[in-house]
Amino acid sequence: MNMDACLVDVEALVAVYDRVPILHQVSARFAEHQVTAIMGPSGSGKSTLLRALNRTLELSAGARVLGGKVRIRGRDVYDRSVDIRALRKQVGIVQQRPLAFPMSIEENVLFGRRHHGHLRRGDREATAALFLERVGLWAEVKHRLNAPASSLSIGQLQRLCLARTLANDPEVILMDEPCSALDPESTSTIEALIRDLKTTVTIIIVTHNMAQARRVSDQALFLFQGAVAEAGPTAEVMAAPKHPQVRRIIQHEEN
Amino acid sequence: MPALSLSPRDRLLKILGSFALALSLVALALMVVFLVKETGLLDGTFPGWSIFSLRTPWLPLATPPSFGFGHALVATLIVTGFSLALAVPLGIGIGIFAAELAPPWMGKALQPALELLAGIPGVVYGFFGYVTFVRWFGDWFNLATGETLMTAGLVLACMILPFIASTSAEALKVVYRDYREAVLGLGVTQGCLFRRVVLKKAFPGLAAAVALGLARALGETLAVLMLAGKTAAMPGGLLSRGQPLTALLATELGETAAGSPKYRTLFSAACLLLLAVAGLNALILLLKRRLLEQLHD
Amino acid sequence: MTSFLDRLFRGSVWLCGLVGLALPVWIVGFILAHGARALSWNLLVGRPSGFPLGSEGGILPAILGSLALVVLGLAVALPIGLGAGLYLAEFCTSPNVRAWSRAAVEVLAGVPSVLYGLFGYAFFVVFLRMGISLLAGGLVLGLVMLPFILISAQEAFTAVGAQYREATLSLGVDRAAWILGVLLPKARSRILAGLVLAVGHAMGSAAPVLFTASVFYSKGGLAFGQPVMTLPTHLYFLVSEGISLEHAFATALILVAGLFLFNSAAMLLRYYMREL
Repeated sequence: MNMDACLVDVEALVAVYDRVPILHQVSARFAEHQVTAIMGPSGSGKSTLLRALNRTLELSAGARVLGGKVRIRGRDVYDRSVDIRALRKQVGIVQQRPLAFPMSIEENVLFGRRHHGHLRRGDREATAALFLERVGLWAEVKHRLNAPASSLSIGQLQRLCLARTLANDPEVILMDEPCSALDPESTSTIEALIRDLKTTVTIIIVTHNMAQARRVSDQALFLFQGAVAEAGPTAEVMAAPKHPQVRRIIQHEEN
Repeated sequence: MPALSLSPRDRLLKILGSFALALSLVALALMVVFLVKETGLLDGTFPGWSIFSLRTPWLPLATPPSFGFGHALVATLIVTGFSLALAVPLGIGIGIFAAELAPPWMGKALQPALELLAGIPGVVYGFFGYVTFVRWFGDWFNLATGETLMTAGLVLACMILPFIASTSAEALKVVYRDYREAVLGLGVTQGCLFRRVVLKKAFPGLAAAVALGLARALGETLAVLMLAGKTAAMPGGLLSRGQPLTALLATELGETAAGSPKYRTLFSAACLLLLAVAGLNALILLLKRRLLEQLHD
Repeated sequence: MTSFLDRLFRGSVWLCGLVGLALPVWIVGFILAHGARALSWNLLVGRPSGFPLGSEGGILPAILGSLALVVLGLAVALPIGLGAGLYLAEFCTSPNVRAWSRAAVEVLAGVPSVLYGLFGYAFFVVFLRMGISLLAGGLVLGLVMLPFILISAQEAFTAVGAQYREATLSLGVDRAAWILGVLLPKARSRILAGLVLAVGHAMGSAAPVLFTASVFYSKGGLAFGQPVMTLPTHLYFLVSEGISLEHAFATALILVAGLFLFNSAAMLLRYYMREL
């Protein structure tokens, strides 16, 4: 991988959950303006690695990063001087189960953006429209921007969460199995969005679905028992996996 | 539960159990019924609705005697209002602390600390207030006696604090657990998380906490008896002496002939108190159910 | 929200938390410190004496009186509460009856203790002509404890039942065997913990016994028809009549220490229960 195009650089990351080691000296590089899929069997540490990148891991009781570095544009995010809130603005996250905040659709979208001060009073609806359009939700909600977000279907809600994250103008978006709670139609909508967004945003997605990884990702990273098993361009890794465990997973999927 | 097929032994147990339940419900119903009966509403010896009026003074020894307990209503209002004003923000603050900001060991220490506060009997609180605040307030505010509604309210706040705190913490813990990551993941502050998301979602639980505090404050007897001052006059403000409803009942019952108009008045006041507290408890049950429903959306 | 406001928020919440931790320590510590000075063996086993009465001597009659009232109350509330809780958990087939009974009991559990006292006076003391006596007070305390015992019994039986009922009944035994052989033993420590809390609460309540059982001075003999001294009312009298602050501190200490012991016993039982 071209070093210059690497935006997020993970070096020897060690993480534990309630003193149980989850990540063992994980090193990985995530290229800019590409979609990288993190895959592996359950318990391999995919979500832990993902959450360690924007330090939402430490919000879970008992979870801690014990060592290693996560460098974004050269700066280690675990350095004491780092402003965590600014980091989370720069590196956003979309969770598995979409969560509606108890407010209107418009307020949901603008929630983070308003907090970071990038919102002018008169621009509310226009700004919300901008981000809702990017996720393809505008047509469906434009006449009910003031309705509570809890009135949306789960597929719409996941797109809303994506819009909410986009409204922060992030450089990186982390996605933790964003389609696992959705129906096939909503899934393909989100996948189309991912392909569409990568020109402006770097995307790192955790998924257990090989077919999905093939459809959306450029790079693949396989974790096995908390360590990197294999990494490389998706097409290459899927066609000719070198690590035996990875080979097993891919072959299992194909059957 | 599947249909019961009961042996003779089982039947005996069931009968005994249902008898016990019936007895319990009858005992509790009897209590309510008897309290109402003693007001004289059922046999025509009720002293009249003027006893609830703020304009009727409490002059049992005058001719003709007057049995208005409006002064007690006002005193209760002042004392409980003041205690809530102190205990609600403090209690909710403790709830937020326990649910979100406290380091784990402190959060764990908080539970026995609050249980300890809740377990101290009212008479001990009254005594404590007597040897501390009553003395201090007498000096600081230059009063003849430090026994004021404010003193009683302050101690009452300490008494209801653990209930407000633990009920809020219960509700807040659940809401924080569900929303913490999604909200903080956007890079906003704790204050924002609380103000714009948690507060709304936990509101029924917090309202239940306040209602619980209010119910407890209304019902406390010994502490206010010992600290609010003994006077049948209408209180003028926080630093006045006063006689909240429970103190009135405790003070006057011993010197009242059963069946007399004063007796009937006291029981009328008691029924009012019963209605208020029972109503609040029913409200709390409803609010707690709504909180559970809301969180499953 | 600016960084300053956020720090203000966090700071205030921390302050609240610290007050919550410090307040009980201050109150209990204060009473402990002053009460320990007045504590003596004579205080625990002697009778009130001196002039004014109660400024010297001991408070044994009050301790005995409180114990007697609680024991009498338990004798009534325990079987009824347990039986009712058992019925609701094991035999009641109508969810409506269960829900409404439980709601009624919960609502009444929150009723102020002074109202129990008023009822006790009107019903036991006057109507049933028991007079101000151990019997009247004991029955009132039983009534006070009943909702708590019923609720904790029902919850204990329901929790244990959920785990073990099906497995036990599928062996073909009748309900009585299940209840006596498995349910009661398994639910025992949970019920005990709830019981201990109910007793602690009743023992510290002055309002229910103030006009149904208590008297300022008694020699200490316990008889059903006679009034008794109790710890909480004795504390009240010592303060309101201005008799002896020192003895008041000691009485308060005994009350608080006794309740602390009860609470610790409840916590230990809960811990023991977790190991089962």
